[in-house]
Amino acid sequence: MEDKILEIASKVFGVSKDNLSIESNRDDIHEWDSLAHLNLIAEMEEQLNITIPFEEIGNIRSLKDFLRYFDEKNND
Amino acid sequence: MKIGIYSNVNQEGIYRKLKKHYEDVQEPTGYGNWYFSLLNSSVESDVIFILLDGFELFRNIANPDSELENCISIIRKIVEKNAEKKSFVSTIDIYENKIHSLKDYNIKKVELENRWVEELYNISKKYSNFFIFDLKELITSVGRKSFYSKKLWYLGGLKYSNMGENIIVEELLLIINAMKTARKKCLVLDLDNTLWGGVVGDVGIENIELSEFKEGARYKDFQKRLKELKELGILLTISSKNEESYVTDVFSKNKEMVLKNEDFIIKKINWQPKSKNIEEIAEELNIGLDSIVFVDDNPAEREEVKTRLPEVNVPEFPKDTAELEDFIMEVYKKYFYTLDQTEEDKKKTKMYLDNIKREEEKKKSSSIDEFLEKLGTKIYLWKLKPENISRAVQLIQKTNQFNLTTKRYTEQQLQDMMKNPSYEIYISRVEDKFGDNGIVFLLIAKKEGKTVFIDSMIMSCRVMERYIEDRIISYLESYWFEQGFEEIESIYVRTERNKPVENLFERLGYEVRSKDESGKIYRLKKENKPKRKEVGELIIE
Repeated sequence: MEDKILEIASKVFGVSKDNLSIESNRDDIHEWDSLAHLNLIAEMEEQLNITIPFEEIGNIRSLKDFLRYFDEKNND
Repeated sequence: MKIGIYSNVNQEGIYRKLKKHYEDVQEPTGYGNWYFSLLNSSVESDVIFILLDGFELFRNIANPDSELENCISIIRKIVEKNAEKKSFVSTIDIYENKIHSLKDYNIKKVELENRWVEELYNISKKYSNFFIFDLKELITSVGRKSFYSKKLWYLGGLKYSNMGENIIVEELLLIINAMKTARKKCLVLDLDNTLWGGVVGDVGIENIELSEFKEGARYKDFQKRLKELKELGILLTISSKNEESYVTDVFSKNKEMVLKNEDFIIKKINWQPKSKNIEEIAEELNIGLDSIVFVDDNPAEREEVKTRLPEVNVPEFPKDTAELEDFIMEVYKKYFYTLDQTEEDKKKTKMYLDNIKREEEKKKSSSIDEFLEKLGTKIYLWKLKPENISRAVQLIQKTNQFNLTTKRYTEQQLQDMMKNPSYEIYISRVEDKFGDNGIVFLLIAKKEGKTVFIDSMIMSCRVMERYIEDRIISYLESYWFEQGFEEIESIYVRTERNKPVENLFERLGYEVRSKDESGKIYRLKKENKPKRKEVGELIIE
């Protein structure tokens, strides 16, 4: 799953996967601006089949934050 | 070719997505006032896409009818101001959630959407460079629930979902690709289980699956779309492992056949490898293998062609034949997408068939001269006019063999040359007793001091070896020399495909001034103008 997240992020940011890790956050990645953030949310929702509630979108700071939604979904 | 995207909503997402596939996109200039920069400053991009959101266009507008008129008049101004550029304006979708009783249908929305399309359609009839971008259709085909995103709208003012943006970008790329590269020319089709269901040799001509409704409609719908491809000027041919008599019977006796015998210009019905047939088709039509798309339901046949002829385009045939129509739509978009068709396109199949008759006549004639005499060729020559420009661009973009310099000018560059007094552009239409060949010749000359440079000389291969170029060049030389020019210079720039004209100017009596691997430079001085064979009749218009 981590790999899939990195793959999506790499595509959205146009940054090589080697330069990303699950710990990467908004402060590390120059390309992670506000529009890329929306794009990232949209791609993750679509490709991982998860839903990130409106209120929580601003709280996503690093790639590992996406894992939570996936885990929640699996625990259902 | 720089692409500019203009909109009344934030299209930054589309811009970024497009940029990943196509480098030359202009940075969006802001979207509050979508037309401001288009109206008030010179437009940097070569192609203009205006994508408008219907709901935002009329948000809080008291009088939407006059707002619509206002927008349309702005669009007209933009198109007039940028007449030399291609512009695309979207249809609109007014997506509004509103609680109302069932009786209280919002007819206004539909009226506005329809009037919008009508107005765009009128503009597109008037301006050859204006096209409708059917955004509404893109939205409808996947559905608003998937195309729009409430979340992205509330968060960042982005109207469309990720999927919606991807669909728009995909359509933009198809259009960009259609403008930039020449479309494919010929479709090679299998018969059994491709044009109809079943094997005709086994089930008989009346029992093949082909009908207006139910199962057989898979194939009939497919044939209908193929017929439309033919109308766009795509050449249809057949390569089938079959008995010729069965096939002839299907064409003449099965009433459900949409495609008729005469819709196909070449039929290879035999038992030899399909790659062999395709090679022969390419040779007979005088086109490159890379201009051919091969459609066959049999994976082994597709593999054989792919392996032996890697240049040929071989799309995967759908496993589920219910998708045949979708499949041919995809094939159209990928290989044959056409922004506009020229008169030549509509007549293309007939022209090729006329040519086959010419070839037969040639075989019957005892000498080439006798054949040329019998043809009764009429060559009409005139300076390029705006109404012929799309055909001129087509000749420039598509001709590989009889093309001295292979400079691929765009419509815009041609328009600039037409305005520039240093340039003369000629085109010619050729007719003979077998029919009209359409506009088949183009020459661009640049005048500098006492010299005329032949910058481009292009002729369609279907009228090659008929001394048409001799006739035209002789006339133009006399015309230029009378005007006071003293010499004519011409060049040959070698490409992989233009060997047929390698020695053309030697034959025309020009002196070779220099030559190397890349090509040759020729000259003809006024006093050396040769006398040449005069075939047919030249009519200056």
